[in-house]
Amino acid sequence: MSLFAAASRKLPSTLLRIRSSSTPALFYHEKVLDHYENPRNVGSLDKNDRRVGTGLVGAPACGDVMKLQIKVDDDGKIIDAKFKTFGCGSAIASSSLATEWVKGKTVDEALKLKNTDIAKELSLPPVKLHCSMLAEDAIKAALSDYKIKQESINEEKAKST
Amino acid sequence: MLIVTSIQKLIFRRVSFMGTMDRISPSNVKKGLWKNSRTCTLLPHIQCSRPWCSLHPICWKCGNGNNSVMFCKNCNALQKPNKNINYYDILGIDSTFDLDTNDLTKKYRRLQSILHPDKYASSSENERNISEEYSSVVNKAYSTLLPPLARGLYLLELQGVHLEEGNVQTNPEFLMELMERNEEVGQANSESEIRAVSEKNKKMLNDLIKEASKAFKAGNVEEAKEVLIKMKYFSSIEAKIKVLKINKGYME
Repeated sequence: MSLFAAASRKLPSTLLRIRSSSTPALFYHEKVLDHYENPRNVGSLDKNDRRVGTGLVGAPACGDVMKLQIKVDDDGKIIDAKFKTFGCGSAIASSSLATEWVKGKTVDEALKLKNTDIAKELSLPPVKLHCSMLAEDAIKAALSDYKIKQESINEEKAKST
Repeated sequence: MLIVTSIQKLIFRRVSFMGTMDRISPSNVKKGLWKNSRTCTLLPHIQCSRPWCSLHPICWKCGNGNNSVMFCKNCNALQKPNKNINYYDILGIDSTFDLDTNDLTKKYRRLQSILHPDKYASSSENERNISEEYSSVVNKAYSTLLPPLARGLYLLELQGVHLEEGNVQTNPEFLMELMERNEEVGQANSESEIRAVSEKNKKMLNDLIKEASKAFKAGNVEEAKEVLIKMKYFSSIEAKIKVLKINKGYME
């Protein structure tokens, strides 16, 4: 009887822990889990750096927020990429993979990256496709922020000369 | 003994649902129910007396055109939930964003006390299945209307407005704020820190609920949608705080 009481007292917290920790394992593909557990390139770059482009996007339907930054060298090659995502496992994995893929590409090459490629690589189910779209939009936003920065710098240069 | 109580329950059900509609009893006079004896007491706002009306279909059991939405007036069999009415109608409340949640819960419990499959353990299989179906619809209605965010989104849906997936938000200031809030939650470690971010987020959500209420009152659907989208982000933060609290073992 006392054994039963002790077991039932412990039960709720154990149950909760099991539920919160095992949910991803039940639904996500192993590639997603890999990125989720060992995300690549998490962090921030200095957004005031002229070579850094920042993309900040949110998905109203699920409440996820994603920040993706790229650092471009003078030859137009992306030398570094960082991300910070607050959202589900698929959103984190999509942005993690996106930073891996854009590194080493030129700005124009990075623009061609499609959400379908990300979704395919991570085997995302249809209900999670919007996470890969968010990652694509984050890259586009970062690239466009970088371009706008370069244009304004060029304009300033033109004015001063 | 068991049979006696279930028969008693059955009689009680018949009396309470046929009786309240047809009889002028002291309690009904007090409730004002005698004024419109044709109105179903559970769904008082639906006052249709036409048997051919889509709201009042033919009884599956006896074939009678019945006036009551829930129980056939002729044979008192539980009727299937009406697919044409919305969650507000099912629970019998006005379709507004502001609502008295105590009243909602009361009505929900009252419905479930009649509809719950346990009450139909000794009924025919058909009626038991209907009670299961009806009771699950009522559960869905209640869980949709109780949380303000789900309620607001449902109201928008009723007006044909949906939050599309794949739509991307790019208001930089708002997104910056969200990043900061999320980071605060990620950095909160001690109990006092977690409580602080929790309080802050709750206040934010409460303010947004007020804004949503204003927008709905003014009939401004677009504004309401904007506010609800914001609420969506903050409730996803809320969910993270909740997980944090559970993992750390802090109580609400």
